[in-house]
Amino acid sequence: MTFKNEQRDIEARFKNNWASTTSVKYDNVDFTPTPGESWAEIQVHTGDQIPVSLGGINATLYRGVGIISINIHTALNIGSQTGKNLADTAAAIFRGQSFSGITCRGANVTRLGETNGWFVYNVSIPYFRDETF
Amino acid sequence: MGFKEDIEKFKSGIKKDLIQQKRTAARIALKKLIYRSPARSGNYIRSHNVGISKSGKGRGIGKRHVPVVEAWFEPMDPGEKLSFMAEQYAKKIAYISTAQLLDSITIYNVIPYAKNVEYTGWSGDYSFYDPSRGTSINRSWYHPPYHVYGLTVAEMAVIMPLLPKMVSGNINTGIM
Repeated sequence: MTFKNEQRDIEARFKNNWASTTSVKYDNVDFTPTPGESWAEIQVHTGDQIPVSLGGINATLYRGVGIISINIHTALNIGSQTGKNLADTAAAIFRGQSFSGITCRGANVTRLGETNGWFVYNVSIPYFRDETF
Repeated sequence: MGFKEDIEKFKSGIKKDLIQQKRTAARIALKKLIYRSPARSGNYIRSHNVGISKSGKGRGIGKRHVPVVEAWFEPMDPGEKLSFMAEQYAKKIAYISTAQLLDSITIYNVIPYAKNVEYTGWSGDYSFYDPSRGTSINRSWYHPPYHVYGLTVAEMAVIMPLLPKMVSGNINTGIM
């Protein structure tokens, strides 16, 4: 699997499961949030590919890690439940799931608070995928 | 040499290996954190702190580097950035070398904009005059987050099971 396909499959899974819950900002796609309406932003951040087996060229198993990061934006002064509810929904889409060779670990939700006129929670899900090179 | 001496030697060897593994894990994590960090003023990198909880002796905390001045800095050039990172790494690994078998090592960063670096990135608006249109144009900019700690933790989860082999390799051959 390539980095390109990894990004595509993660975004596709989110798109299919999140459906019309809120509008979503994807990487490098024009997006303007509607004032007062919650929205989500999904990003995929990749880390190192670490060799985890003996082997030579084309026979070494590499484990690549990354983070699926979803920022949930809600309007200010509406309390925390809307944001936390959306964070729960986002976490459930990936937590412990395996798809397209990607294995997700547990999710964690971090309160980021007021950021640029929105109240934000971050949902981070570390994942890994193995590939032989 | 009798069995008693053999066992004592074995126990002491295991203890030495475990201490070495703990310090190696912390050094690898610190190196990854520093070299993955954005470097503009260098304050974020300076603010990676190492804390060691001494087993049974209360809590020892590494020196804190929390800047009080925030300003806009031009990014460091790549050569300057690398030597700055190497200098910061060298300063902090000495402290890790004092960790003992039952100590906990914590690496953390409490700089006020750490949440931007980790989770949100930065965004803002700017405008410029476009002479061809004879008017001002408004644009917004966005700089994504780095997930410095999140990615390092994910990588360490893969590296930790490999550490015994790496440390043995270091002890037996001097190469790692």
